[in-house]
Amino acid sequence: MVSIAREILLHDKLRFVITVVSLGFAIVMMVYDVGMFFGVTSDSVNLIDRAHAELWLSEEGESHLNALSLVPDSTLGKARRLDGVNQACALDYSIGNLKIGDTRQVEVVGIDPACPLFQPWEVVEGDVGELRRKDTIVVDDLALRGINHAQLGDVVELNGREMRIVATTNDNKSFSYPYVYINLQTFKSVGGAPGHYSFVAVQTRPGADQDQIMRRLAKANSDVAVSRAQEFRLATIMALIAQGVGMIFVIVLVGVLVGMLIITLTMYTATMERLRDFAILKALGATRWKIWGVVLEQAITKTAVSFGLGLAATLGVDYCVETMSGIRGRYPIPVIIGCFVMMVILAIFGSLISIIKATSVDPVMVFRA
Amino acid sequence: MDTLLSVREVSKIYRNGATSVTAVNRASLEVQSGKVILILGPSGSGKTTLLSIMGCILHPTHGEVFVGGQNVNQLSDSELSGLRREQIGFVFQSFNLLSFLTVRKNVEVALNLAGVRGRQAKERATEVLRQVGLDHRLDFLPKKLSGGEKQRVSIARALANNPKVILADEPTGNLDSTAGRIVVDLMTKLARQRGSGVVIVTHDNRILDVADRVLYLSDGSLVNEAVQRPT
Repeated sequence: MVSIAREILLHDKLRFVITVVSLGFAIVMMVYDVGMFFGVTSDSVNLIDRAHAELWLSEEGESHLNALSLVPDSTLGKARRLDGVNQACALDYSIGNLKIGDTRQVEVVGIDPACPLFQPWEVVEGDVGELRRKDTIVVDDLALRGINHAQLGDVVELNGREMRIVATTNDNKSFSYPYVYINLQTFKSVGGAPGHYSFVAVQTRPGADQDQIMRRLAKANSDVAVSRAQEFRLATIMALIAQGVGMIFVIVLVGVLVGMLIITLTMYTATMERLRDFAILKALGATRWKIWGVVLEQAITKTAVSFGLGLAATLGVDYCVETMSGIRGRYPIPVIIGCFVMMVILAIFGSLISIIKATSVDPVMVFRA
Repeated sequence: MDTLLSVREVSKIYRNGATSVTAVNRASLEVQSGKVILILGPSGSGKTTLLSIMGCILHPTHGEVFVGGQNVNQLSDSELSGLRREQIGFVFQSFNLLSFLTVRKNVEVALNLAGVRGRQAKERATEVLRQVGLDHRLDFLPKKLSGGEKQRVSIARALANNPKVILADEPTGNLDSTAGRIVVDLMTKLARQRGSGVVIVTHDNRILDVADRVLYLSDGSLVNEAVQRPT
């Protein structure tokens, strides 16, 4: 069967290429930013997601991971002694400067290497257990990249203090900076607040009443907020959005609008140029639905091809950005499918004016010379 | 003899505010199997309007149109489209080929619209194009063809679905006399072979001899008739 839509599209190949490239650009804007949002939010909460803890204790009013939270170190002991608590571990968290020849920013995570709730993941080489020694550090390989390459056993400077690398990791990073891990005591010597931790995480016993434990923890620790892990995670994401990550949505919206505009304009001009052809088809007996189909097939074909191009370009851009800066997007299949479906819906809406024009054309015009 | 299409007391009046123009005035005629009717008349006499009404493209203001015995006034747009697909073939003065399709695909589209698909459509398109002498131009775009060749593609497209009636609007209008003669002879010959009726509206007196009946249209009225050739 002759696909009229495909024949129209391929008849003017240059126009088709220009259209799909333009539309592909709009799709890059949209998909890349959606991917960045998922990447940024996912990376920002990976410490929460990977901690085996159901509850998080933070300073009152500072209940998210990027907050300047300080809880008294007594909070840890109180939590551990509470009925229904299986384990409790402290976590220190701040931005720091790591010097390996040149200086780069890192996110410094203070952990108790003996506590199973927080452990570095994807250890490439070395022994994380060595962190119990003073002035030792576990460094993610993202922080080790560059001209001044360091490796296991080398001495680096964190906030001006020399430390020996005892292990390296891969993919331990927030959305912007790689993680380095030091023990809680060492953390105090590189800027940590004496007598305080940033957070305390709590793992409850199986079957324990979490609401009751939360109430007890709050009662035992004044000025300390107790959050469920999911609440803590959401609060961290919301704080990021409030701090500017929400701008991503504006760029996504711009991409969506540009995409819709391109579809609408290209479909409209292409349809207006072919009004006589639609009149011929109607005179030959094409139904209203057939004309709908011809216009929609063009719009969906353009969108599908553009989406393929846009997605490929997005992944290319993402690879380059990650290589250069470590910032990466995440593109879960359902999100990609969702973006595609949205673009197809936009294509359909963008074609409505063209469809109305094409279906309302008077076939009598075929008799005019 | 089978009456394939008939119009009875058909009028078309265009109104614009207080002004009204009667393009066709109480015209009646019957198209019969294998017969060729020529409707002559000057520009603006209502020839094309009458042809549009006969082709179920334009609704008459008054009167009735019957195709295959069915009163088309009572049909929906969708049913009228079906009628045009299967029972009527059009040949236009300006050819009206789809410029983005090859010769064969132009004919295939008409077959596809009538529900003939795939290999069958391709073979039938090729065959009818062979009958009009264009089997060596199957993969050409219309812009590569001469006027006469374009009109032959148009004829092939009109004949592809074996319609009951062929309606031709000034088929020689954009052709020189030789090419015009060839395409009209070809169209009427193939239509007669198939038992289709043919209506040609024209102001070209040079093709009078192809007609079984000649009607004259003046100011929207069929005012004269002459028998041109024996049946």
